[in-house]
Amino acid sequence: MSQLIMSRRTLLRGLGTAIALPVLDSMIPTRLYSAEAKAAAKAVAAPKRLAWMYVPNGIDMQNWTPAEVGSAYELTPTLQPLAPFRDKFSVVSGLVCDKANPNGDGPGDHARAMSAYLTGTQPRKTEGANLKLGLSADQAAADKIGHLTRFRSLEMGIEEGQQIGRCDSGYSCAYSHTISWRSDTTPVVKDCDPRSVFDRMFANGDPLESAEARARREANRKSILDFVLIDANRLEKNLIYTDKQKMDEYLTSIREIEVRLGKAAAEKIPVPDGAVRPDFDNRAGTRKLGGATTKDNYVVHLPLMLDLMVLAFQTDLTRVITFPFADEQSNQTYAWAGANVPHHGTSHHQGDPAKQAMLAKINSYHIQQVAYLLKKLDSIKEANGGTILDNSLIAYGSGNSDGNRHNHDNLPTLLFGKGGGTVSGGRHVRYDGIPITNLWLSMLDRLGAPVDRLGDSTGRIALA
Amino acid sequence: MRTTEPKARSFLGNGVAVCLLGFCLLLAACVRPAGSTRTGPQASASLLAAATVKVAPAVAPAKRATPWDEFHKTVQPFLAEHCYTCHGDANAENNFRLDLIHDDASLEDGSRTLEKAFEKLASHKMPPSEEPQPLPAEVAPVVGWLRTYLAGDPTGPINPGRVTLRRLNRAEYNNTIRDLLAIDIRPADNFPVDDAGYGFDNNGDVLSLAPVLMEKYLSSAGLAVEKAIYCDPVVPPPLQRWDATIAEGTMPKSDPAAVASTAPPGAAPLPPGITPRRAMPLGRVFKSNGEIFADYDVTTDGDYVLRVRAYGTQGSANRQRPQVAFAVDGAPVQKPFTIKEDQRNTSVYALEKEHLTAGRHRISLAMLNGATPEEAAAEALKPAPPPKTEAELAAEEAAAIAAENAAEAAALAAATAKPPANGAPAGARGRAGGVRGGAAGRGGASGARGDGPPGPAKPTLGVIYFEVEGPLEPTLDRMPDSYRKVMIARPSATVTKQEAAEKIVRHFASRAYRRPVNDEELGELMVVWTKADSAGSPFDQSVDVALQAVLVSPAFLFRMELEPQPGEPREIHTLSEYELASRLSYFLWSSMPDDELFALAEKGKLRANLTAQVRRMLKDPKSSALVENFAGQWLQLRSMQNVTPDTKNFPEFDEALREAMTKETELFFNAIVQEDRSVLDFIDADFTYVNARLAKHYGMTEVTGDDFRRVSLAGKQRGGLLTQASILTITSYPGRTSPVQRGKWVLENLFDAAPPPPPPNVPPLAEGAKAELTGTLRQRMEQHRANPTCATCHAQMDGIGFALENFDAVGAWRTEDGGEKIDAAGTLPGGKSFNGPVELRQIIKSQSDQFVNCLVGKMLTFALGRGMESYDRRTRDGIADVMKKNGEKFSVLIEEIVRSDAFQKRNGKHKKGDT
Repeated sequence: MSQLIMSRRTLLRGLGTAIALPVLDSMIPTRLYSAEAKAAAKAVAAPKRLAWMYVPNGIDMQNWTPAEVGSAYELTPTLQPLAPFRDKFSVVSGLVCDKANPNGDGPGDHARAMSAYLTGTQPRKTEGANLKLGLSADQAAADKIGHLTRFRSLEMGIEEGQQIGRCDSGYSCAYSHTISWRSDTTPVVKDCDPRSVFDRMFANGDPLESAEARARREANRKSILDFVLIDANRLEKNLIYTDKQKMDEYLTSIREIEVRLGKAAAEKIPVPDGAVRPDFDNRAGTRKLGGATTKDNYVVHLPLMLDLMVLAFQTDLTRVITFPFADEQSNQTYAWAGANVPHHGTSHHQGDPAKQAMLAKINSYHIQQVAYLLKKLDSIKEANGGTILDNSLIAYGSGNSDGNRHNHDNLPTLLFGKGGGTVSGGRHVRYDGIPITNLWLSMLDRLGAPVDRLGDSTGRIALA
Repeated sequence: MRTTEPKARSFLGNGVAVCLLGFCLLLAACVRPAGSTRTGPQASASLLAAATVKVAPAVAPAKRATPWDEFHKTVQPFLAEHCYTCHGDANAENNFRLDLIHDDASLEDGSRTLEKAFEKLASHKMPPSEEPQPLPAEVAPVVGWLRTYLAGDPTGPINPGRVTLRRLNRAEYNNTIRDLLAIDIRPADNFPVDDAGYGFDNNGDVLSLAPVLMEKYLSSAGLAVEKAIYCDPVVPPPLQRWDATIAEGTMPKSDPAAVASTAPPGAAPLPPGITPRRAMPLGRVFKSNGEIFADYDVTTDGDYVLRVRAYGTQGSANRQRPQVAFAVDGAPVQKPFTIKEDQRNTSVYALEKEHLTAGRHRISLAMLNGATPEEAAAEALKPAPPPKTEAELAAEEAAAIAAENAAEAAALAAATAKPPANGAPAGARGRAGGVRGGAAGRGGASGARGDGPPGPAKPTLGVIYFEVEGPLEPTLDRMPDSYRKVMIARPSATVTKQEAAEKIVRHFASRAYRRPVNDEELGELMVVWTKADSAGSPFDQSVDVALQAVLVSPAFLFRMELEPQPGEPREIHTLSEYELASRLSYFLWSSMPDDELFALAEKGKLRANLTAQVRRMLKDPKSSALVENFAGQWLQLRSMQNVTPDTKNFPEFDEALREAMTKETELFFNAIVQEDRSVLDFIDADFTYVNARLAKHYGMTEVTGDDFRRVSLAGKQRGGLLTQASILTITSYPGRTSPVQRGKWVLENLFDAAPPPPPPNVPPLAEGAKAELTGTLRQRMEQHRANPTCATCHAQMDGIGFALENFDAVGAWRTEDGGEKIDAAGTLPGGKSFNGPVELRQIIKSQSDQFVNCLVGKMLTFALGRGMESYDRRTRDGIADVMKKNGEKFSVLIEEIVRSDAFQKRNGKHKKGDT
């Protein structure tokens, strides 16, 4: 008889206990997979990245929009924390997300704002049956360059599922929780657990695991994936309509994981020196859910997630990231920022100066966090002599302009980074009435992932 | 109001209709003041009247006339006269257009529009009160026709709809892993949150499967199987022990009660936890060579351990200690061993494991180096040594006992002793006694200590017991539940690895897939096993890989309802018994079917035993899933995890109170389920559950302790869900109450009449009113309602909310707010006025029909995992009717849902939006 008790499968262990990542000041060599990728890297000397950061419920615009256009503009109160990076970002005003307007669909500006933001597409109004939207800008980028990195894209988040059951006015929660859509029917769920993000990024197994054990584990994993592909393809034959569509989602996910595991087996990505697995205590006793963010640990999780964004770009695990700071209609409270008020409720300020002041505090807190991210991205030098920030383009904004009016024109938009030297910052520009999808197309161009159209795009924006 | 072109599409289950009119029609309810004289009980009465109007044959759907013909004749003239003014052209109020229905096709497309129109007409919310009102006799035939039309042909089959393939959500995944593997590891707690549709997170259309989730499924499968099968036995092997005094053998049997000595009077007090060893059994005394034995029926081939507890004396002549050997069936096993301890320190000697084959074996134990029987006989004739003085004896005893107790304390501390197995005595210790015997010095087996007169020339032996333990190999019955549930076979002389693996995989997959695994699937799974096996994995590891494959198969992750003939989907067909078992178990338990459901499904007898099964399932503790998942979402109780009351204003709020609030509502809901109470108790039950913490919060003094108990609320302000601190807290802002949110909660969750969100760009109040909002919260809100855009919805919401103003933002009772006395009086649209929570409950209860209908819709949505469609009206009305006839009992709600076609059948027909 065989021995019953055997050595346990090795697991990724917690790698440390410190909360924040230390400043990463050493230059980490760029690490790439394929010959193609290496060749591409040589040409540009460092990879370019794109990211989109989204804030819900609009912005207190009077504290946001600079009065002057051009490079001599004065930073407004909310944008003050960005002063150190003035030369590395632009304020973009006037862009429009028309598909967030009702266009006959009645109420639901929040759900539409979030879902139309990167897709430029009017979401089909349904609470569930037959979701329909469109491909989002980040996924269009991932379709083009995702094969170069282990993760074609990373969907990160901070707030998940805090609206129980019902979201916006007859729109499924999938619309107001997801900015990233893989296809017109497939929202890409975001990972809001910092530990989970870290583990997925660096799940290379136990460093003490023997080569033989690792090989066996990988062989088993491959055999399982082979099986499920056959299994799913066979089961699909007995499915109809929307059921088939669900099985397609399954198959797409399996194939993507296969590709990723292939890449992971080909090259091990070490955790950069000093980076540790996020560790934190959730409020003891009351949360049943592991790493989920709650209203009062938001303030702890947010910088952790931003650290992970830096880490993902630094190690070139991905070049495309989306990161909503919260879901549309979020009623996150921001006690630590002097605004212990529900965000959405406050955004309907009806001109009440006290509420507007609260909203400005929330806006300002988010911008401070962005400044924290920029500082980190700008402190890591890359092979071409620039910093990660220099080699990236990161958009920040909302699909609502004034949260009280739910208007989707004159959107608050910031564009960080220099796109590998192809974009110069330091300006306030206006593109009144231009679809925001035009900006996304221009960003994709700079990444070397051009696409012809995206939702309601009408052309490109000159990013000088 | 926006007046852009209608655009949204909503898909109707009857197959082909696209509703060009659909958009948020709820807004229509609010843009104008609702009828001022027809709401409240009066409206309910009219609603009922409308519902029971017999449609005259002339207007009933006739055979030849198409639905459009009838509509054109019966309904359209009414709409033209009373509705088209506002809803009859491109500038329609709220884009709600009734004029677009002009033929059979547009009629079919317009079901959702008509559904809304029906609701408004039936509840007299339209036409608005300031418009000319139709006579009841005009409304009745229109409402009657719409009711009949929307319900579909009452004699035809009910359209059961089609539930989209559903993956397990987080709760279902956790529970299924728990029940499938008998482990409780809740892996899905770390999965991304499931999106919800129609209020619940078990909606197939919305539950998507992104790569991040697939990764979690893969790693969770590994963890779960590992936890289930790599585990130690939880039950030790069987043990057979024989008392040496009475065992057969060549030595004379001994007196089991004979003891060697007792502790002397006045001995030092013992350390705590040590039982005084008052008596030492002599056991079987070997004064000469010989053996004792016992016959044992070995049931299973395997490795066994032989042990003996013994002591001995050294031969005074040859200085040898006794040598002992075990034999099985007369053949000595392993080497002889020496018993080193004397009588006070009897010790256990264990052999290396010995392989025994099944069958009867004689286990014998022999002393090898003692006296011959003749020598022993001569020894016995020697004069006894001179007796010791009392003082000598006492000193010896005290020293010996002290040493013994110290040794025992050390042994206890080390805790190395094996726990007593199978209730066998722990050893010789504790065997009765208390007889102060003169055995010491008299028996041949004592006297090894001290410098007394020399004992026998050859060694002697005392044996307390001997035993056999085994087989040592873990057998299934000794393993934890998780292992026994899964590893139901092992390779053996008669079972090949392949056979054992196949048996395990077939059994596991059939449970995981919630239906028998077919040969093709099994073959593919065995390929996975074979690959691992041929790569040299040990048996458990190769099985592990195949089991992981099961746990990431779509057949496990999704609740499959396969189309029997996908090429020609059948319109309406009955679900298989296995599919029905899954629908039942995921509805009531949020988990997989148990053995009883599987057994019934296998025999094809589940459908015939549905009611009994539902009752059994509701009694099962697993039905707490209904509280967690249905009530948690229906009542938004899950939000309790996320509320952050302002601790400056509410210093009493802490984690203990948060937990207590949640627990109260859970226990309350559970009581209604378990006691099969009327669902109207949700509105105004006269009992609740509190512990000391919550009782203090509620101003009750008589409750102590952390445990919850049921308390009567008869005659109190509190009663029913609405006055529970949980609901009052989740509908408040961190710093203050929100009558609006409370009112909205009631409308949305108790009446299925959610008001629309605030329209965009409400002008600042100060502009219109030329005045700052001042006064109490209530006064400020009343100024707010002066704005007609806000008024209609807010009149309803705020009215309800004001009735609850005596409860602060964490649900504590108060009589004033900010120094102002609370005014909990109000008037609902329709003129019904009330004061305080008790009267509000009465008003809500007076509209119990609407509440019951709402609850049926919510429960059906949860049970099916899809949103309600217009064709579900017949199902909903039918269930509500049966409930009304049966005291609105909770069990009736569940049983009628389970009995319904929507629950038992599936429509394979293509519908718009299908790809």
